[in-house]
Amino acid sequence: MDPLEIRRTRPAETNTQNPLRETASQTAGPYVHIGCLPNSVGIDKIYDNDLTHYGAINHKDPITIRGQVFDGDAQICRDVMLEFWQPENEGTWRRTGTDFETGFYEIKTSKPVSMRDENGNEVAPFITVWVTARGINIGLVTRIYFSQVDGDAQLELVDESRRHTLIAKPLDEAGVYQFNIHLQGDQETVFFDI
Amino acid sequence: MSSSIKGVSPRQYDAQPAMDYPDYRSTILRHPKHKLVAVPQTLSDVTGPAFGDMALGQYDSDLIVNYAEAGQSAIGERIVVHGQVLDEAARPVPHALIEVWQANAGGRYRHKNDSYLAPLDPNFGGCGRCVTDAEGRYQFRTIKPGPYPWPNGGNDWRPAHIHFSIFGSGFAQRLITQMYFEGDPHIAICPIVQSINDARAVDQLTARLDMSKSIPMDLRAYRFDLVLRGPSSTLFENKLEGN
Repeated sequence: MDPLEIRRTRPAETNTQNPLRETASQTAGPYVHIGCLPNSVGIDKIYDNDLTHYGAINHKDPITIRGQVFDGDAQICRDVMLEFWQPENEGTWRRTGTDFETGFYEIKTSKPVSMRDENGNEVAPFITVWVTARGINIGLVTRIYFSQVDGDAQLELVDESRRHTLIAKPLDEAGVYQFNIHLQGDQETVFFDI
Repeated sequence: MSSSIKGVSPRQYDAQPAMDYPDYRSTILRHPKHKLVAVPQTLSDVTGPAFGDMALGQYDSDLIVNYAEAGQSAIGERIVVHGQVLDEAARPVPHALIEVWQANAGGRYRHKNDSYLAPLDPNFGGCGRCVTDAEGRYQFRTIKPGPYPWPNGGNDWRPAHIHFSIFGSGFAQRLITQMYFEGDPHIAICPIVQSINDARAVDQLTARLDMSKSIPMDLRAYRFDLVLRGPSSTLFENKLEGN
């Protein structure tokens, strides 16, 4: 069997019960900042606080996550927009971009809690991540997991040799984690079809 | 605040662009080579941030004036872009945040990485946002963006387009796309558009001139409806642990 084959758990469900089809995605392009992160390109005159300032910091179990995004040549991608979503409490959403010089992103959030999937199974805590940029035709979904993921029903669907790409690495500083994203290459991050 | 949907139907990839499309050079090193891993949906996929109550500025959805000096306006063909956001079941998506961005009438973006010859318009910023109403309707006033050349290894020009970012009720409905204009000959020869191997899907990205909403002696209207992923037949109990 092709080791890259998706191990589908869903039946090949068709979408014929729905009369319309989802609008096709297109790349966010190199200038996504203008629309989504305008303050990062000096556009302060339209909204003085763009959505990078959205949402209160949840002080319960606060953590910082930082990292970089790499392409298939292991080059740093400096034009990526990232969004992060956790549903607990009132929901925590973060948006940021990779730095134009260093390529680093950083968010502050709270450690996620476990939840159930559509089959009623408890799943390990994770943060959903959405990655868009020039050259990415459909926003890529990945997840940041922490420790204690053994036996997780969802991670069991991911090839064992690739699971490590989903787990944040604790840094020396307390509460700070590194999560790098590899769009392609030997360390390619696992991306999901949800 | 968060919003939710009961379950999101599977994405139909045949109506989506190829992730690996070498004619659009930037995809070559930026597409995953492994297949996406399908997993059962969780609460994190069927809920999402809610922006319905967000305070918007008076001119957030008016790109003609939202960057302009008092009494001035952006240069270009004055248009209004309007439409409805629906899901695949044809149900309106209310309270959805839409963000747009675009080049100016000469095809130049207000961005430090854009060095195209065409000048900036001092009265045009190039972004706007709005939230859909109870029927899922939205509208923006703007100027028609110009086509522009881009580095892709050859003589490539983008069709005139407006970028759209849309949040649905669940994060699995999140979408970024581009709106094109009816009759633009660049649509058929643009590799970014043609990465979608489905004429009907490309047509769905093409706004139509809508004279019924045009305002005499002021501006013309273009209609652009958006469809987000629909409800799935799977329902599940939205329940968090330890909360």
